[in-house]
Amino acid sequence: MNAHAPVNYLTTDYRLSSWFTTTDHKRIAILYFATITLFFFIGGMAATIIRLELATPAGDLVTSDVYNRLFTIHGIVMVWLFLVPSIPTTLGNFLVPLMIGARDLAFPKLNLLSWYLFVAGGACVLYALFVGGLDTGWTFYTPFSSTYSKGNVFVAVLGIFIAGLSSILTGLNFIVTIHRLRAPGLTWFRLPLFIWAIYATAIILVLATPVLAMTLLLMTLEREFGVPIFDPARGGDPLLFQHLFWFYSHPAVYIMILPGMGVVSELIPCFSRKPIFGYKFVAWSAISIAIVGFLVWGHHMFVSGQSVFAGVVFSLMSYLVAVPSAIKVFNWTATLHGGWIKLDSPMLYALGFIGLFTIGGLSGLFLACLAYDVYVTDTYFVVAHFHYIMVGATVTAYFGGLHFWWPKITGRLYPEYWARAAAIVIFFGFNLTFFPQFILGVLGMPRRYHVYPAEFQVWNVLSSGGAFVLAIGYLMPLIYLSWSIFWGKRASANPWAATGLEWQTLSPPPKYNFAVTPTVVREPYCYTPEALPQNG
Amino acid sequence: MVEMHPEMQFSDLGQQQEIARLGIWVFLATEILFFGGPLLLYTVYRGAYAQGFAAAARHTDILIGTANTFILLTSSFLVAWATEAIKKDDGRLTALLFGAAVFLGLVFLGLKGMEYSNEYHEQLIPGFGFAFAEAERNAALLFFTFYFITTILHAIHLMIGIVLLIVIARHAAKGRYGAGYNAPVFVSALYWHFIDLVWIVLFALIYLPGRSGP
Amino acid sequence: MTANSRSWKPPARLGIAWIGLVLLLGSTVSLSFVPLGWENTAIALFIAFAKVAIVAVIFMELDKGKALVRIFALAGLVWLAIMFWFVLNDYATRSEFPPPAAARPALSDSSDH
Repeated sequence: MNAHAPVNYLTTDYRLSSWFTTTDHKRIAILYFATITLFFFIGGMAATIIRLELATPAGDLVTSDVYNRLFTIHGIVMVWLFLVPSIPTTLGNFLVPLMIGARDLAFPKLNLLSWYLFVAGGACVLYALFVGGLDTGWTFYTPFSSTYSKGNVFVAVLGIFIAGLSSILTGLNFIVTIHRLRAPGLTWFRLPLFIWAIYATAIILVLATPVLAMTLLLMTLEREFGVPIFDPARGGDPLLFQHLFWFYSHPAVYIMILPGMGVVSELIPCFSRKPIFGYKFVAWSAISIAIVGFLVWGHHMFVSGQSVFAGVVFSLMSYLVAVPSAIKVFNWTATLHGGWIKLDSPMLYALGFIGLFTIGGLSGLFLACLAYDVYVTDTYFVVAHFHYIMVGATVTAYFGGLHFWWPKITGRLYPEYWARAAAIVIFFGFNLTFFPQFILGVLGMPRRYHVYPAEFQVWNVLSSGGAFVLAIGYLMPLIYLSWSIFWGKRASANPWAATGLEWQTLSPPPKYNFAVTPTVVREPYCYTPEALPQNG
Repeated sequence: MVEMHPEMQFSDLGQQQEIARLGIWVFLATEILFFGGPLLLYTVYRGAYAQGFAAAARHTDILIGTANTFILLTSSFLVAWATEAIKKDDGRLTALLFGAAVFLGLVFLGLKGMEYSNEYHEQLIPGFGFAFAEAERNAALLFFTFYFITTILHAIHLMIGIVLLIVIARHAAKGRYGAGYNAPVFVSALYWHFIDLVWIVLFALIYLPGRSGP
Repeated sequence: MTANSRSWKPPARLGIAWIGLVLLLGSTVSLSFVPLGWENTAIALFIAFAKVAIVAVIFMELDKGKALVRIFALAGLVWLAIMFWFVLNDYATRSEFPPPAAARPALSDSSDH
């Protein structure tokens, strides 16, 4: 360790035990980062086997039972153990206090508890998925999950319940922190848009997750005790499970995308050297997405047997919820216009986000249409749609944010040319993987099938080839970012010349973030194109 | 009152108190949504099986139910009183009142246990030898499933509340809290009141339907 | 606070609230035995909401303190209402629920619509 580096949150205490008893939000962010990276690889392994199997029309690599388990692993691990926590627990935990000029979150010990709960929940889930296995899909539909499946439902649900509690506590922490721990002068409309996005995400975390917890609990009780709750043979309604499940799971997708949008809102102004266009519109659109996102869940149930009236209402709401997302895209684009564009790697990811999110979002409008959804539901069209959003958008934004704030978090610079190369490989690999799936869906290939008619093979091969390229793209940052921790050039406090408060302290920050609590005197993103920092 | 310093992320104890209050209310909002699932279940199924639910509800023990409601309402009153007492620096009265609420909570659990035992003997526990008149069996099964799940969940929350009150009462008796800082007192009090709120709603849904019937 | 100066009288507003709650409890139980048809349910729910309001406002001090606390409490209720409203929307407009008590016919192959 360089003896000349100032004492910072990483170097205050070298003992391993200090990491596992820390209440420093920055260290907790690192703990989460390590954990979700592990989960990302597990989910990715499942995806690799899936794409290998799907390269041929016959079910020749794995049996149907194993295939069911594979997509269940992939869905559960990627949704609950990777995407839902990803940006909020890593970048959110690290940056929220820094961006608002606070010394830590409102409840630091609760924050550490959140991480432990997440690890415990994740361990339970992994145990269930690999010992005994689970074949219900991540959606746990009854009566298969509650009556017929032979899988390890109970332990998996226990794990998700615990991980869900972890995310509720994180959301609670963020809400209270953002309301009450802002630095002097930091009014709501001077907050960085990342904070608005995290706040909107926290609202969803806090209000939606308890319903998931209860629903999975009820389904498990039905399974373990043979009591009828959703059992149609005894007067119950399986649709009630779906309503309750999707009441959480649709807002959950907004949990997964909103933080990514927040990251992009930070990157675009910095790398256009321009203030964001329409700050208030972007801020309010995050809140609108959070609220309206609770009114659309029935679009997952158009063919389930719910009433047509309900279907029409949900369809209308689903169109409405696209509006605030579109507003964001317009505002980001308008920010780019006339800006001094710098194509550093974070910006490549941000631009990739805008393009891929737009495609994914537009495909969502197709799905919001009742008649069209009947045709493509449960096909690869849906699979392509949500992967464009969750991978093309969210994971891209996550990588963009990771690169942007890497110097702040680690105090090191990564090799820029490798980073740009990786961004391009990822973009190319992603599109090659998932665009053919739109075509497959329209041609009629159902999802969750590993055997398909031979005429679909060419698209599947393209997709699997793309997955290979994408995997390389994801491995590249793993290598050069790890390299940079030991051998990267030391970063200055503000290598990107950005305006946020987090850039007005050292890289890496000292344990208590700021030597003196900053006073905020201006709105964010005062790129003129020189940066005017928020605190003076 | 023992001299207290605010945690390092807060500027003063007042801020720490206020933030504790916000935090517990966010948590209670999540609990509202948590218990909302079964409430929705009940609403849908009672709408579909009104007669069956009424018939099943008549088999609940309204004496124990009413007594338990009275017990919880009174315990909430005592806990609210304790929250006022600590604002006057009276830690010992706070501890006493919390202790009385704990006692009432234990009585509640005792009565509930008796009630469950009776229900077991009357074969009203789904999955454990449930028996009911054939015509309304499905509806009754759904009703009693709802009854046991919600009251057991409620009882678990109550047990947590009891432990919380005991811990806080001990600190209060030692003079750890006062007018300047009493967040643990009102946080545990609010949690206790919430348990009471849930019971008020459950009581109306479980014990009262069908009473005027055949 | 010494034992001498301690007041054993509970605060008046809490005492009154408790009395109100007990009276409401008595009413709701006795009224449930009076045959009033659908109104039994309405009354039971109304009284339950009244008790909830008393506990929430007076015991939980929602009327005092900052507006933000009231907003958080309200948010929980509003979101619950959203869940109820949109789900009941479905059940209210479905042509067939619950399924008939007699055995259902085997699933037809018209699973696409």
